Formats: sequence, structure tokens, C-alpha cells
Amino acid sequence: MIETIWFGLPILVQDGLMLAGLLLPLVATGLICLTGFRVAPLVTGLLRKHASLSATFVFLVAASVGISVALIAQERGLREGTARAADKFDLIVAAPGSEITALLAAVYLQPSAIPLLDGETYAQLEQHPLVDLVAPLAFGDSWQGVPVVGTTPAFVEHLSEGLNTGRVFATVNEAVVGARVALNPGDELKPSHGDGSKGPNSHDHTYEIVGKMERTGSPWDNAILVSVESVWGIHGMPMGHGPDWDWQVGGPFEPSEFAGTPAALVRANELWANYSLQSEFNTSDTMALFPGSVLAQLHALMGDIRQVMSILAVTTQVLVAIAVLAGLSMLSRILAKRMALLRALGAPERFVFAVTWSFAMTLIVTGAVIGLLLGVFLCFGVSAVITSMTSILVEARLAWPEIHLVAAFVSAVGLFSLLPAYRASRRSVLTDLRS
Amino acid sequence: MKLVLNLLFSLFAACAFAGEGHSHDDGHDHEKPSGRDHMATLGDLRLLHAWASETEDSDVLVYVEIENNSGRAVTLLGAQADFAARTELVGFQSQGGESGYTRLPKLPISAGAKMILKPKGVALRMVGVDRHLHEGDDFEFTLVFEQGEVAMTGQVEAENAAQHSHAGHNH
Repeated sequence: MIETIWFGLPILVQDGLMLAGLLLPLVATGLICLTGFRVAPLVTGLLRKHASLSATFVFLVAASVGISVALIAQERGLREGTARAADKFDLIVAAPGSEITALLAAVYLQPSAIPLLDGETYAQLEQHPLVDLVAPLAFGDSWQGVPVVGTTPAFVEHLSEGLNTGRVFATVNEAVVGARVALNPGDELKPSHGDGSKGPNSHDHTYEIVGKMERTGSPWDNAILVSVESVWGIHGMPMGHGPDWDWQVGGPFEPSEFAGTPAALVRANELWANYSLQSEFNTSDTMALFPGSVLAQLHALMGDIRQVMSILAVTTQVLVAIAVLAGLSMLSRILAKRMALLRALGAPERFVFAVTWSFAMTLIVTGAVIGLLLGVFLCFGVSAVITSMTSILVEARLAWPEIHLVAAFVSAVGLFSLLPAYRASRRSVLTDLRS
Repeated sequence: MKLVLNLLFSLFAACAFAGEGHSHDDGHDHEKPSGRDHMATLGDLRLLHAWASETEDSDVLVYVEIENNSGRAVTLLGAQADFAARTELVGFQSQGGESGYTRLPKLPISAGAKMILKPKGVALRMVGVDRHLHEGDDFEFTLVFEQGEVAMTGQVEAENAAQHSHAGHNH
């Protein structure tokens, strides 16, 4: 019953209620401790008197919270970024082998030596009634470390959904570049064989850049796309078409002239059709994989890592909180004479308790709030570095899970802080006044 | 000890299912499962290793291997189960960094093809399940194809299972 009501609520309401629930122990403790006392002037005075010490405590808490939430948000950002990068790759058909290798090669353009798909299989895909788009993905060449991929004009249009500048390649001498490639329409390049790691080994073929794609947030932003016919041609292989070919690039290809491709992108308009195609092309001769599904399996593994990260984050925060509370215990001894004076003037034990607890929570809550802000900046910074290194657009930002984590931390420390507050309130007035 | 108990329970369940039959008359072909050997047939269609993960959720994903050994395509439409308020055919989809299961209207399986319903792929979602599924439990359901219906017995695997514990066995 409760479960039904809970899951019937909007997500935002669920998150808000969870936050309220996590903060409830803190609020309840605060109300119980502070009702009937006006501690603000004394706490403000203590903060001023011990400004540098208070700032150190706040910095420790802020750094711990900021790093923890940024790390957790980054993991989620990376997971979403890698999934988003695979959005355009509905179904990949390749020769049998490792799904992960095929995924890394076809979607993330990681250099891999994988067997080629033959012309007969490609023709079956081209002619299949459920297939709306099929395109070869022939990788293996590069220019100054940037992968050069042979494909069809239709794939470029599918990937970029309209070019940023110029047009799609139409001949074997033309190329389109990704948004992050330092080339523009009108520039020329000579591709090298392989990934360029074994020194310059240029093919005797020049491409002219005729277009630049929109940013896709994927490693394809750092790729050069050319006609698959040109890739076959510069490797001395048949160029995919019969003797009557008019040199217009793109499918359909002649199976007997099809030199092979490491992978093919296959797309059907309906999800069910993609799954149907997957079952049909998962045979002893071909492998069909959903990049989204393979990634989800990898992300499930990362889900476990996320749990470990969350535990480590909470442990770090608790350790910092313990250090802060230990520091506060020492501070309460320093303040003991002032508190004893207050007690001697008639202040009840609970007032001393309330002042000590409020002082501790002011530091913790201030540190947590600054930590959240620090986390936002760290997210932007680390995301920018990862995006720059991988070409995968990572947009990590703090979300409800991080806010819940910090709320749980603050609430837990609020309860822990009762201990030093209690000890401070139970000190002997006479001893402290004499000390 | 737990293994022995599971084994005894499995033997008991196999005996219980051996004498069980199904009787329907709605114009479709109906065939019955061969009990605890994890297989059922519908003409040249072989259905193997139906399973679900242990869960206390009210929605349960059920997986099965379907081998279409016939010379024509068949179409999976969904399933029926007495222990669920409704069932639906779903497919895993990832879009814009978010992923989840989307309802599928049908799933054609080509002649000679093998369709494996598995986690992060195609599944049968049983919605509003009236009991908790515990590892080692059996459950009964009916797969609905355009060409007919077939009753099956599924097995509940561990919560983190990725496949049926007999996956890969020949039947």
C-alpha cells in the first residue's frame, strides 16, 4: 500500500520527501536542544574569537564533501556520457568475436584488429525489409592520430543530423571531419595506414575536406569520415561496385566487389525490429550487438563500483567529521572557563549543551554547504578534462543522490555532536573556574 | 545443506509437474511444457530455460530462449501469467544517457533464428506480481505467439543472476 503510494508520487516529490526525511533527525535534535535558548549571539562571538580554527574546520568539511560528491557525480556523468555517445549506434553487426572489442572499435573508435564482414552478409542487411539504414564502418587508417573511417554519406547524415559547415562527401577524394578535428573545408590531408603509432606511412591519396559535422559528444567528433570506396581503393581492394559504377559513393554495393568491413551500423525505425534483426544476425557467421545493452552490462559493473565509491565517500566524510568533533572536544576544554562562568552566573547545563552543539553544527553545516558548491565547480572542471581527453561529452552535475548523501552526513554528524555537547555541559563548574 | 534441500525440492517439483496438463480451446495451437527439464515446444519452436531473478518487487522480468527451427518466421506477442495482473513484452533501450525497458508490440523471429530473452535485452515483464519470488521457486506462465500459445515452467534464479543456471545445456 505504502509502496504503491510512494511510487505513484512524482520523482521530484519523492526526492524532496527523502531529503526532508534525511534532515528530520537534525531538525528534531535542533528543536529539542535549542528551544527556549537564544544561543546565536554567543555562538557568533565564539566564531569570531576562534575564526581561524573555525575556518580550518569548515575547510576540512567542505573539502571532504566537495571531493566526495564531485567523484560520485563524475561517475554518473561518465556513465551517461558513454551511453549518449552510443545513441546513434542502434545495432552493430560484425564478424563473430568479442562484443566489447566490436563496441570499442565501432562506437568509440579504439584501434582493434577485428575480422571483416563479407559482401553477402552486407547485401542481406541492405535488402532486409526491416532495415532503414545500413552503413559500413571501415576503420584502420588515420591522419596525425585522428582516425579515418570509411563509410557512406547516409551514415554522416545520420550521425551529424545536418552538418555544421559544408556538405557531405560525394566522391572518393572528399572527406568530412568531426567537430573537434583541426581541419576545415578546403583543407587537404593524406591518410596514414594504421593508427600512426609505427611512424609515417602515408597512402598516396589526398582528400579534400568538404564539410564539418555538428558536435555529437562522441569520439566521432575527433574522426575523419570518407567514402568506404576510397578506403578500399587506397588499399588496393575492389571498390564495392561493378564495372558500370558512376563513381557516386554510397550503397548499394555489389557483393562480389565488396572488400569487407570490420563492422556495419544497422538501424531500424522500431525497437522491436532492431531486436528482431539482432536475433537474425546472431549466427555462427555474424555477431549482432546492441551497444546500449553491452554498455548497460558494463555500467552494471560500474554500479557496484559506485556503491563502493559511495561507501568510501561517506567513510571519508565521517572520518573528517570525527576529526572535527575531536577538535571541538578540545575546543570545549579551552572554552570550559567561559562556560563555567556562565554556569556560575545561573545559566543551566542545557544552555551550555545548546551552545556547544550549535557551534559544532554551524561549522558542519557551513562546511557541507560550501562543499556542495565546491562539488559543482569540481564537476565542471573534471568533466572538461575528461571530455578533452576522450572526446566523450561528459556533463557531470550534482543531483539529488549527492544532496541526499550530504543531508545524511549532516544529520548523522548532528547526532554525533550530541556527545561532545553533553560532555561540555557535564563539566565541573568549580574545577573549570579554578583551572 | 541448502544445495541438498534445493535438489530435493527440484525433484519434488519435477514429480508434481510431470502429471500436470493444460486444457484450452480458443482456436490456437497449445502445447505443454515438459516440466522441470526447462523446455517446451510449439511445433518446430523450442522454448528453453525460462527464468527470473529472485525479487520482492511487484514487477518481474522473465527471460527465455526461443529457437525457431521452423521454415517460417514466428511472432512473439507476449505472455500470460496467473500470478501477475498483466504481462508485457519489453525491450531494453538506451537514449540520451538514460536507459530502461520500453514496451514492444511484437517480436518477429526469423526462420532458423534463436532469440534469447535476457537481462538488458528483450524480456517479458510481469506487472503486479502477487507474491515474492525466491531462489529455487518455480512459476508457470504461457508464452503467446501469433501462431499459438505454449505453457512453460520458469525457475527463479539468484537475485544477481545473468542467466538460467542450466543455460548452455543441450536438451
